[in-house]
Amino acid sequence: MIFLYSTYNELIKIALKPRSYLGLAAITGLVGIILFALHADGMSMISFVTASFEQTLRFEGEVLNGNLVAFIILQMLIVHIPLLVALVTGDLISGEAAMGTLRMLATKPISRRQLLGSKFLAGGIYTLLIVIWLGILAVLVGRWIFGPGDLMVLNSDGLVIIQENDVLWRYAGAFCVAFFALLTISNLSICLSCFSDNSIGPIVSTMAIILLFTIIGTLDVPVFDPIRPFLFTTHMAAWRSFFEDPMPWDSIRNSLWVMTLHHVVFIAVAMISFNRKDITV
Amino acid sequence: MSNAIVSIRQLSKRFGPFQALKEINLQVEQGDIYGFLGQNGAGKSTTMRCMLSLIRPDAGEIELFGQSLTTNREAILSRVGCLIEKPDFYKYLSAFRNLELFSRISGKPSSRPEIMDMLEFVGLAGREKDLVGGFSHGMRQRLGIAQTLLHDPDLIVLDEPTTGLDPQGIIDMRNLILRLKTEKNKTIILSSHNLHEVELICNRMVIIHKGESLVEGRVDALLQEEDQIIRIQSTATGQAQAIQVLAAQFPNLNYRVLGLDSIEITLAKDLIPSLNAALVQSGIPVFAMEAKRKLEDYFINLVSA
Amino acid sequence: MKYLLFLCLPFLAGAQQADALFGQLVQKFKKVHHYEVLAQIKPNIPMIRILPVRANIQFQYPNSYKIQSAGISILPKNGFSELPQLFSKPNQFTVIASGQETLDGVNTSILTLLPLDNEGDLILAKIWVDATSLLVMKSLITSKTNGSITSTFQYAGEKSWGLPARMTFSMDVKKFKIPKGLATDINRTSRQVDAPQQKGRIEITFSNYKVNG
Repeated sequence: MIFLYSTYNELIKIALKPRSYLGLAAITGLVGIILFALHADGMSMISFVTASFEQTLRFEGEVLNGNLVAFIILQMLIVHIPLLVALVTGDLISGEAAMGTLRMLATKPISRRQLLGSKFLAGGIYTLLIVIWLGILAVLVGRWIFGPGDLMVLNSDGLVIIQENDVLWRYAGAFCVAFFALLTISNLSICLSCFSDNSIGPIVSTMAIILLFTIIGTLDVPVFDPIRPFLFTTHMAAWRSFFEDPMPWDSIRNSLWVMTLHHVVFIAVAMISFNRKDITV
Repeated sequence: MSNAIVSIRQLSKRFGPFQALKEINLQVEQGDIYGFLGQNGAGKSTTMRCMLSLIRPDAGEIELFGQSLTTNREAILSRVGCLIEKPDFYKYLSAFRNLELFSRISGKPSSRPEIMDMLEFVGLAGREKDLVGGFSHGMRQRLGIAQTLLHDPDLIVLDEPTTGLDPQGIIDMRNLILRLKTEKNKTIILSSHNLHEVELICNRMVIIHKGESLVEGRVDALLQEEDQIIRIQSTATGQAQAIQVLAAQFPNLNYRVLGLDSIEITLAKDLIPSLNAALVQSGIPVFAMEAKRKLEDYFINLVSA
Repeated sequence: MKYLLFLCLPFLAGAQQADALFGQLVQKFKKVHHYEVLAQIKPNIPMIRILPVRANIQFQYPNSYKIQSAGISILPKNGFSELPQLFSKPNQFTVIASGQETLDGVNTSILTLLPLDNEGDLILAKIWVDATSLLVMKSLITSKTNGSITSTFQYAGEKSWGLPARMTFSMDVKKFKIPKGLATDINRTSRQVDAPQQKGRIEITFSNYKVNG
């Protein structure tokens, strides 16, 4: 019961902290800009993508529709959302330590595991809300403004055109996987937060790790080949697999496994370290 | 059967090369106002933090309410209210919301009226909706006390409760602690480097110095062991007369001349009435006769030794 | 001069026959003022994955097409609407007989249409015509901007109107390129891409014609 109370507390703290709305506001602003840009000049962007095809073929129907807009938004923003997530979750322990409230919390009759667990859960819920908000803006608002239609996706091996009635479940799956990937960021930043007594450190460290792993992942150097499949950043874009045809279920499953492994490691490290942590501030 | 609420045995803690606590022993009885006395950095707060499981000791045993803190942490902490160092709250939340949050995980969630009553009790009625970020230190300290008392704990731990308070705040805090003891029979542990405060409030104390407990016991009993120091203020003539009269009445008189009109005499407590009578009978003008604060000397003697 | 005329006679006769055949085709084409048809568009184009799409096609004489599909459909850039355009402006071409060829057991006459005007996009159009039933069996449209597209036609119930039951387009897809940076995801592990086939096909099956109704 006390775990639920603590989780509720954490959610209230997140809800009433102005910083929490930075992420939502940033997403809203960015999506607004993208929607405006696509509304104003979306066809030229699409023509750039389809130019070589359109020398021989012509596309009939509304190519620039809500589903494509949602895909473009997701593609553009998913890179930035880790920062917005870490901005809040990286502060959950260290921010309390910096404020001195961690000391107050730790003297309450709640075990450290439960306290930390409630923070992980609250961080996860916040991440979920960010993803849902992104989904609402991208898919619902996108479809509301641009209307529904078949989704044309440019993959590395060509164009895939997915029919309208086949799109929504793919988005649902894609958002679930994107949430799972962002949960890795949330858990990583909370884990790092256990090692710091200032608010900025874990946020910067999280971004540094993402940057480092991304660079390792994209550098075409054979020495990194063995570790590349195990970096969580390699699987951050697994949501995109839902828009391939045929769908690479094995690849999705593999990504989920790797990310689950990261979740377990981050939570375990955080639990051990927080349980042993001397709260001296 | 021991009535100990807190029992600490052989408590040691090291931070890297720094030995913060070294085999600390103490015992707090039901209904005590127990003082932790020591200089800054002596180990008072570290001991308290170990007692509240904020810090894991390297060695030793801590028992509260007859239970081991290691194995019964949650049950024990549900009976403890504490204010460690400065009272820190969520600045972006209101006073009410802060209390509500902490109460929710205190083991006994409080209702809205209970929180409002507590805010009134600590003198923050009408400020419940104000953000804590705008509170003065004194107000936060009072909110901290409210947070400490809200779940009606049996043991209250206060670390430097008067630090940063104005004179009136210090008096209010002192009265509050005494009320908690007399009206509610709470057991209170407080740490301070203010000797006067400990002498006025506490019935038992421990003096911690460089991580070691030097002495522990009842305050009056500890001070009883020492002779009293009496300062007498007279006139220039009166000073000389007083030395003469008292030297005659009290062989081996231990005295010290202070300036042109005062002397300081060290003697056993039960001889003070005779000293007073001798001065009156000799017609020596006495403008002031006061006992010098004993704990101060006791503490300095102990620490400098 | 007479000798030269003698040498040219077969060609002149052939040209006359070609003109006549083309004229007959145009006349047949003119009988269709408008039609509406359901189309099932089934592309098979390397580097493009799309399921067959149903579309509603409306034609209005002389060369106006309206294609409505629930989603995105892919049609060849040339070949679908070019023939009606050619038929609607018969005076803007020189028609040359280019021989005979048997297609799926049907003898066809090959007509080459050369635009009189060099300004337009069309370079050359070649049509294979079943002279007996006045049906276009195959076409090859070559334009400046879009290269060549070959279309084959199969007929069923609407033969009398010259409207096909199935059209198959084949086109060169060598030029398809995926813009780098747009398609590849960050950290995306590379996937094996099949060697691209050279030709793409789009098959359109028509049903439920409503002609001049």
